[in-house]
Amino acid sequence: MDAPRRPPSLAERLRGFLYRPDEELPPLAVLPPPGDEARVAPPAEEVREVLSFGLGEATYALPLGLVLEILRARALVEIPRADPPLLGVLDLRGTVTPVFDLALALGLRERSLLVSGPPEEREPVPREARILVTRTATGPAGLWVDRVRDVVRLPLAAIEEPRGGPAVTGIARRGSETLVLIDPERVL
Amino acid sequence: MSLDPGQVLDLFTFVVGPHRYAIDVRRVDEVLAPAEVTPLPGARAPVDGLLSLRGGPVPRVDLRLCLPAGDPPAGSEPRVLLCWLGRRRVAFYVDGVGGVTRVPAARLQVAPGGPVVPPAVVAVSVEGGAVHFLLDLVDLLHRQSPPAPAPG
Repeated sequence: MDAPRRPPSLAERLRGFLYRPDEELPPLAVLPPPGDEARVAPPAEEVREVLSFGLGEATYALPLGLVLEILRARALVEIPRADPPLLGVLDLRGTVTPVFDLALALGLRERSLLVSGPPEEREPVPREARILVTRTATGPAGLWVDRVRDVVRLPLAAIEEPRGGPAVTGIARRGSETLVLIDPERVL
Repeated sequence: MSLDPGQVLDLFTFVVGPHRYAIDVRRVDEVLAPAEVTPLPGARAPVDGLLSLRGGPVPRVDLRLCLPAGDPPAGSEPRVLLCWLGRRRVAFYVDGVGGVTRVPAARLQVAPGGPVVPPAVVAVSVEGGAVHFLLDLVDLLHRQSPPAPAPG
């Protein structure tokens, strides 16, 4: 006859409770592989979350709360005689959404992209390009950007006063990188 | 594993439903305000999506789906605990947070069995009239994981 199993002691029960870097994790399907994640200190001050993205060589950012979706850039439906920076429209699950050339609107590019109209007249869509669908007073609007970087949590104290035009709401530095914060409403 | 009678545990306390819980404070990397999660195709409860954080996406687990439900104490504000499990970070949605408290290990009680005690609770701390369930997060997730496929 087997001896009755001894209930685990408090020390044994606490073994899994206490943190160990080498502890074994359950096979939750969605857990990403462990990486070299930097430990991040808890925020000690108010922060602003922004989505950073690239336009040419520069890095810009807009408030994360304004971003509804991030779409892989694609050919758009042409609007005849549309004025730049309007590139065209896309059908966002039944909602016709205008898409604007953000680099052109900010004066970073002189010529508008040709990403709508007949296929033979369009230029190829760069693989990294994305459309940021943002919330505006007149409804969703798409912003064509060269690439999306990441979400950045900026302490308010790290955001400097704007300079460089009415669309710029602030300047922030992250390491050696400068983030130009913009208000899409003012750009458009 | 032996427990030093004089050992003092630093616990981070939080609320889910009607109960107060505590975890090893070394697990807690950040406490965040709730933010929208990105739905994750194929995710199953209690994982409810991905949080986009500096350093990459982090799966979020809704602890309300793992622990007894009920109304949290009045005034509780939901938060997201960004925790270390091994070398990974996992976010946990909770109904509110308490703070950090120090409890001598000698004052902890072994969690009684039975339906009253939530799963994965390994010990109970009773300090100043407040009862905290010491929660083994890794064990809790093991209980929520699909069983391994049978060999063959």
